[in-house]
This record gives sequence, structure tokens and C-alpha cells, in this order.
Amino acid sequence: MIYLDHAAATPLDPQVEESMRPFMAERFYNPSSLYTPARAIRTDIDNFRSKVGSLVGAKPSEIVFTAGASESISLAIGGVVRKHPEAEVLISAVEHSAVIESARGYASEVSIVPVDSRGTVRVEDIRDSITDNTCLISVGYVNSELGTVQPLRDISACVEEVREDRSKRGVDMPLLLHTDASAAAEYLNIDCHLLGVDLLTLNGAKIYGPKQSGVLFVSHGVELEPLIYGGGQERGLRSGSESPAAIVGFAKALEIAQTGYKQESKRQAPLQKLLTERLGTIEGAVINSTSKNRTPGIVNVSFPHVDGETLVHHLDANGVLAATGAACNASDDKPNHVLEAIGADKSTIQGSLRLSMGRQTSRDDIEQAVDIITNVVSKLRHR
Amino acid sequence: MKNVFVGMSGGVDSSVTAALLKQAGYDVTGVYMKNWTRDIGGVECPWRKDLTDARSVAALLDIPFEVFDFETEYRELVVQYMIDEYRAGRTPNPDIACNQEVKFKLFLDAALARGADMIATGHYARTEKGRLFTAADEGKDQTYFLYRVESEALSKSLFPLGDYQKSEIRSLAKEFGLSTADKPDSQGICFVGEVDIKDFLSEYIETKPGPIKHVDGRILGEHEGAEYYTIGQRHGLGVGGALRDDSGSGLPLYVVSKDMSENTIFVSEDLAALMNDEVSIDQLHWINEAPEIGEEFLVRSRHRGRLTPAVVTSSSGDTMRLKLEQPERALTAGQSLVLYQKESETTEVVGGGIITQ
Repeated sequence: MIYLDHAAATPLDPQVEESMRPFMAERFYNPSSLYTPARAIRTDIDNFRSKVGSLVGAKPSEIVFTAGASESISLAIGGVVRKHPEAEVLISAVEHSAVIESARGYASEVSIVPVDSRGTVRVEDIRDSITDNTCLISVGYVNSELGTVQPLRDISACVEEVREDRSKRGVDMPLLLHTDASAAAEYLNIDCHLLGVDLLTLNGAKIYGPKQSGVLFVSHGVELEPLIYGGGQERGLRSGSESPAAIVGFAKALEIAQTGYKQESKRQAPLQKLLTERLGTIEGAVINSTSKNRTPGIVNVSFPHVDGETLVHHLDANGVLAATGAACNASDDKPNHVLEAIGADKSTIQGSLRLSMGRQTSRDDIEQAVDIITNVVSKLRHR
Repeated sequence: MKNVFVGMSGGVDSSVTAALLKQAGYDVTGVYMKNWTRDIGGVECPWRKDLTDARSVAALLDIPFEVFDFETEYRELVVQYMIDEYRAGRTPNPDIACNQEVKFKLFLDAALARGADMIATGHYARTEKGRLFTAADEGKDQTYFLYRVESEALSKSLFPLGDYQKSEIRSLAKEFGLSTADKPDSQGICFVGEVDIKDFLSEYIETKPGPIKHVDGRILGEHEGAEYYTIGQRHGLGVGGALRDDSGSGLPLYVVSKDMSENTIFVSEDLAALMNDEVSIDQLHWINEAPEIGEEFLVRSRHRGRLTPAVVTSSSGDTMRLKLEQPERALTAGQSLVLYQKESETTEVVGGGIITQ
């Protein structure tokens, strides 16, 4: 079996699993309880918070633990919008459905900024879309279907200019920048202050950590309305008894990812090149992931006039596990909005295949997978 | 080699059907019939997952796969029929309508037009030369749902599961390595699935509360709309404890009849009121030869219901009357009475009709 869907899920790193184990067994106490073994867990959580903070260039009090990226995104977007109910949210056309649907769900107005044919959003387009009523911009750091890295620092510089201009003109509306960095943490340095973002989402499930673990970085001074009320955990932003196992697992996973990202990127880059080149030689193949500035994990390819879903099932039957698009809307009828946004035609979208590599992926895996894909595509095309 | 189009629902039965045919050397094409996609009463319609399962099995078997879209026709021929029947106070059987109108008519015709010689489904039934017989697994036999299929359609249909026990099908699914091997059997009626029929109907018909009367005339309570209730129903009436026995325990009350014009349902604690040894049917359908007066059959008034000996007492035009050897419980208007003929080795489905009153 060759697993090429790391953008959908990653296996738990053994070190992560090891770190979590005590918290799923003997150290089961509620960290809010008063007795010693419970307070020891509270101390541990504080330490993990510091660790995560230091990994992403943030203060511990800027780290909110959540149950995954969708929740972090919801808290970021919903949290800001619920403070400014009439304000507008700006997102790029290639955002994950968690961003699109949160924006639509919480905001009364959503503007969508287009991208170029490589999936990159242009800073000028963002600047042109900002109005005095815009309170939040949400642009994913790395696109999970194309691997495209967005010019986040340029965007934050633009946001800073607009803020200064607003303050000069006496416009009260704050302007905040959120990024979903779920697909970035494995390949890029995540430093919230260097990136200049106010809110940043991370997902344990994409970095060999536990599922349903995540973080929202909330820069000091950013006011959010919580979505989950209760015992006031996580600075009141995310009530509910903490899951120490998920927290320690996340912290460990992020540590491993951020320690090894340079080396792992270097290792995967030639694999990506090989995979792209060999897939490109298949008759009719169209490579969709073409940005010069992209992470090395993903290759997105289309075989027009071959049904992507059928292709995925046939690859499955032949031992290659891959995806048609983001797993979150893989079962949807709607055409893939990311490929639509980069201007792909209908049959290119219909026949798309996303291959995403991981730490275990070898050159041999790639060679074998390409052979299988070549055979299956040829069979389906002639059926 | 014969070209067979298999209706694949994404369930274990139709998955194994496709696998068995492929193994037997047929040229098999899998077809998912997209009939219904609406969520009802907050319950998610599972069609997407079912379609994915069917597609995945087709890929594993390396057979071509197609989706036939019958949503419009299904709404008209099955759903509307069902709503109309309930509105008229009867209890319809949508599975029977679906087989008659969709699977063995629309699907058959579409498959033939696309080059099929035959169609196949995962029904537990057997067929030969345009005749219909019960399945080897009597507990799973689905011929009750198939009696309105035409002989002509049966002669172009294969039921590969008819000779198997359900338990064998699950182990075959595992042997074939099918991802659907452990999928639970679908529950409830047809497309409505696990949804409460009341939730479904409430989205389509307007109902008014009315009295629940004892057969002796006393009013025992109020119902939410006579359309929702079916003959023989005991639960969900909200009249528990309205009548008590000598020791003070609440007596079970059964719906024994409905008066739609008065929006009244009648209940009784006496099960005998539900028992009947005579039954009238109309909208007769005979797969081959029509029965004659005086002829004896085995009859069944519900899926998997027991087979009761009966004799045809009268017949005229599109109606027929039968006398049962022993009384049957809750012979419900709108449900079907299906006639069987037992030979030494086989039990053949003769046909049947819709129970009137």
C-alpha cells in the first residue's frame, strides 16, 4: 500500500503517541481540580503552552488550544465577527471550506479575492478589496490542494498600512489578519510575529499529531467573542475541560515538525520533482500545482475525461491511496472550488488527483505509484 | 458472453451480486440508481456514502460503473404515490412501487438501451423463464416486494443471491474483499430509511388533530392526523392507560379502523377486532396465469409474514375476494396481498393485489 494522502491525514508519530499515553491512563485528572496530581497536569499544560508559544514566536498567553483546525478557524472568524456583526470578511478564492463556510456562516458580508493561475493571491487585489467596513482578512498560508505558499508577509504589511490609514482618518473598525497554517507547519517556519498575523490556526492532525487537536494563536490585544461557553478554560475563549493528551500530543508533534521541516522539505523536493515530471509524461496529463513558491509535499494533476473519483477508487483497488481534492468536500457534488479559482476547465476539475507525500514516502513509492497511475489512467481512458 | 447491468446500491447484497456475476464470467457493468437525495427531519440521506461505496466496489471488481439518474421519475412514481395513498388513509408500500416502476421498468429499459442483455439486482428471490420463485433463505425472501414485476422483465433479470443464505453473502463479501462486507443492512422503508414516517409525511401533507375513539364510541384521546396511523398500530397513540383491566393495569389499544372523512381513528383492546379471514384486493397483477375461482393458494399480507392457505371465492374485473384458512391480523388497506403456489421443490409467486377493506 502506498499512502499519498498526507494532506488529509498523517499517522501519529511514535514519539507523540508515547508522550500522550500517560494522559490517557493514570494521569486522567481534570486539570482544574485542586488536588496535587491534578494541579501537576495543569502545570504540564502551562509548560506545553509555553513550548508551543516558543515554537511559533508567541507568548504562552497567546496560545488557545482547540479541538482542531475547523474549530480554530471558526473561533477566529466567528470570534471577530461576533464583536463586529455588521463588518465584512475578506477571504481568498482558494480557502479551505472551513474558512469559506465560517465566513458565510458568521459574517453578513463576505468578499472573495481571486487568485492567479498558480493559486497565488495578489496583494494588490487584497488591497483593492478592503473597505472601511472590512474587519478580518483570512488567507491560508499554504493551500492544501496545490501547495501554493501565499505572500503572507506582504499581506500583513498591506494590512498594517491600512490600519495606519484608518487611524489617521479616525475610522474605528479594526482590521485583523488570520491565516490557516495547517498545511504549512510541516514545511515552513511558523513565526506569528514575523508573519505579522493577528490570528493563526494550526492542526495537529496534519503534522503527525492527534486528530481533533489544534491551536489558535490570538495576538495580544485581539478581542474575540467565544463560541463555546462554560467553565472559562483557555482564557474564556474555549470552555470545556482540556484534553491534556491532545495538548501534549500537539505540542510534541509541532516540536518535531518545526525542528525537522528544513531537512524534510529538502528530502521531499526531489521526490516532488520526480513525481511531477513522470506524471507529466502520461498522455493528456495536466499539472495543476505549478507555483514556484510551493511546499514540496503536494502534486496536483488532472487527467481530463477521466473521472477523478473513479480514478481514486481504482487506485485504491491497486494499492495507491490518494484524493480527488480536499477530503472535506470530496463527497460533494460541487466542482472543486480551488481548481475552479485557478481557471481549470470542467473536465480538468473532474479528472483531478491530489497526491500528497509524507515522512515515510520513498523514491520507490513514487516510482511504483506512477506506474500504477499510468496503467489505471490508460485503462479508464479506453473504457 | 452476456452483458449484465447490476443495480448497485452500495450495500453488501448488491456488491456481492456484482462480484458473483463477474466471477461467473459475465460482462458486468455496475449502476447506481440515483432515486432520492433529500434529508428528512434532520436525518441525513445516505446517498453520497452509498454512491461512494458502490463506486469503490465497482473499482475493486474492475467493472465499468455508471450513475442512472431517476430522481424526477422516482418522485413522481414512488414518492407521490406514497403521499397520495397516505392522504387517502391507506398504508402504501413504496418498495413494491419502486420495483414495479423504477428498477424493473426504467432501469431495465435504460440498461437495455445502453447495450445490456440482462439486468441483475441483489434481491433475495429466484427467477426462471419469466416466472418468480421464493429465495432459498426464507427469512430474507423479498418476493413480496416483487410480485408486480412483469414476466417479460423477469425474463431479462438475474437474482444471483436467490440460492444463498444471507450469512453466506456476508462471508462471500469478506472473501471477495469488498469494503461493504460489514455495512449494516438498510433499515426501514425504502428511501425513507430510518426516518419516522410521521416526520416524512408532515413535510408533504397537511394534517389536523382529531379524536381517537374506542369502537364503542367513547372518545379516549386526540391524534395528530388520521393519515399518520396504520391499522394494527399500538404504539405512539398517546392513549396508554386510557382503559384499564380489573387489576388497574393499562390495556394495550390497537388501531382497528379509520374514518378519513371524519378524521377519526378507532381503537380497541380486543385483538379479535383486528383479525379477519376474508380479504378483498384490487389492482390485480398476475405474473403469468391469473387464478381462478375455487383455486387454492398460500397468501402473505406483509413482507416476511407467514404463508396462510386461502381460496379464491370470487373475482370480477379488477377485484378479487379470498377466504383465508385462519384469520390474519391487521389486513391493512394499501398493503399488498401476494399469492404463492407451493410445488414440491419450489414456491412460485403467482401475483397479487392491493388490499381494499
